Amino acid sequence: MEHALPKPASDVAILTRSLEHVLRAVIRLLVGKLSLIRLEELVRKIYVQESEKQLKIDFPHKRATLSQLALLTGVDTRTLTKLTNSQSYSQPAHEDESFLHEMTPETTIICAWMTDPRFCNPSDGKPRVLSLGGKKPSFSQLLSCMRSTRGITQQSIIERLEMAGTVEIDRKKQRIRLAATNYYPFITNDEIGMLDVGFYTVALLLGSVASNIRRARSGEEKLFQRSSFSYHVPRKEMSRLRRRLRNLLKKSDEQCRAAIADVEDDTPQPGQTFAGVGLFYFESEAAG
Amino acid sequence: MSPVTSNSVKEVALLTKSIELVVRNLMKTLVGKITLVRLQEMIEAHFIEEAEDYLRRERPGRDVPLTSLALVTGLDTRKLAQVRNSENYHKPKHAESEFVSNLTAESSIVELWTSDPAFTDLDSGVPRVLDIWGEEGSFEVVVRQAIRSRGITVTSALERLKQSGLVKIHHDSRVQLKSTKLPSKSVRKHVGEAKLGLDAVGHLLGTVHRNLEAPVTGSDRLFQQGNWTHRLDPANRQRVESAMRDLLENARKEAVIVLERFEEPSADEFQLAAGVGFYYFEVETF
Repeated sequence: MEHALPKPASDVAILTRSLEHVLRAVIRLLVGKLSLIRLEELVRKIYVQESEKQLKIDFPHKRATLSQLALLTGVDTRTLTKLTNSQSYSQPAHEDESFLHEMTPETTIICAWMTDPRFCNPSDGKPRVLSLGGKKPSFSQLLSCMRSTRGITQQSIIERLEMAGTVEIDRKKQRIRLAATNYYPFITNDEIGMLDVGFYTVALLLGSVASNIRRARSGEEKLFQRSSFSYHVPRKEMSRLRRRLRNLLKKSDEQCRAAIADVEDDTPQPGQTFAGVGLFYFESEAAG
Repeated sequence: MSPVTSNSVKEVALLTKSIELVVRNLMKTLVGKITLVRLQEMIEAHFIEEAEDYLRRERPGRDVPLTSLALVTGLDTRKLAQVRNSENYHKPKHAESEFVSNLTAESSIVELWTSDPAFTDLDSGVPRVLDIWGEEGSFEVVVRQAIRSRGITVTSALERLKQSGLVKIHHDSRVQLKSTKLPSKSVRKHVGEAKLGLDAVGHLLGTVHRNLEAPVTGSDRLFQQGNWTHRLDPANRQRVESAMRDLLENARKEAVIVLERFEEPSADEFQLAAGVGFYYFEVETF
């Protein structure tokens, strides 16, 4: 029987809101460390790889077509073919030298300055002092190493690198010198370490979320993942609450550590599982 | 600005590995719920907004020139100007009905099928049963109009909708829209799971961000701890999972008591949101 159907519901908008919240938080941590172009490249490759896996689950008895992949991703088949046939498609980004050298426009410049024989001394690897203008080797010649330079002025790059203490400029002689060979001009090693640990723990939580979605489908018991929170904590009480919950989390953390140590094998063996727990406190201005 | 110590490609590679893991696990959660094209639209808008804030924090009181924004994003200035001048800039995507209605290929097809008089009787709201093939008012036309991507076949679209439980194919080569509930039944079952998970991830990311800024802002670091082993005999896996579940559930219950003690009965502007998150994870091979 034909009957009127409700308009598409808004579960989708709710999920989109949560996704926006996560994307914004991830991006906030990435700005300055990875350009949008590189992030999109990473997302595109991994999304397509995960879509291929999903199609194998959705259609277990037949080979998924390119058209199915295009439907799932929204990307046209010609682009998909180009991407999946590219050399870097199956190579992890952290092992891909060209990806690492071009994380941001600044890293592209620093890397070329330190490795390209036009801009460094091949015998000792020391970066050359460059002219700002015409005479080669020049900084403008170095800028041509960036893939896209439309709208990026030499002045804006110099300003940024100078602000980070990466370059020193002799304005009288119109020369520029690479003063620090930091890969990332704007952050310290400690910050990189903290970010690394932070992203790693976020990845583990996301792994549990993805696993629970799969388990919900298959009917398996879900992994423990819970939050408890309140939107109505008076500002003046925050430090007291933080202290109380820190003590509680610390105690639980020690109990978990002891329980894990209790069952852990003494030596590494093939086939062992990687397992653990994460505990964290959070607070925010805005509800939700 | 904090003093810069030397870092090399080795540290950057390690960080990239963790970023890749975040992206991979996020994509695992999102495939089937939003297309890559839509996801990239979101990423692009949020990245440009965040990059603008980042540059403004670096040079307070100064306008952010397009050329600086181009440097941080890697996008050309023409594209940036286009995004910054669009009326949806700085507006949440979840509030844009056109965006939300077209998150996946299925949703684009259903949206068109239920809103165009060629495919639905608008008076009764009943979507028409369509011939699969044909030059007018057919499923083929819906697919061609709803999805502009090159290379998508009508057969594959039909297969996907059938697999999602959204359509019924009649013996006379006609197709009926069974449900407009999106996401599809198979995805809907775990939308709640995905939402709760993403919310927890958002909270954890907030904690990571705050702790990263703590040396600059001078604020206390928030508690964030993980414990794990790489040397767990799979035979002990269930025992560990069960022990962790009990420990974490007890901790959560205790946390609820503490939170309730601090919670005000009614909302006001001097309040904050605060809470705790717990999760167990396991990975076969890492």
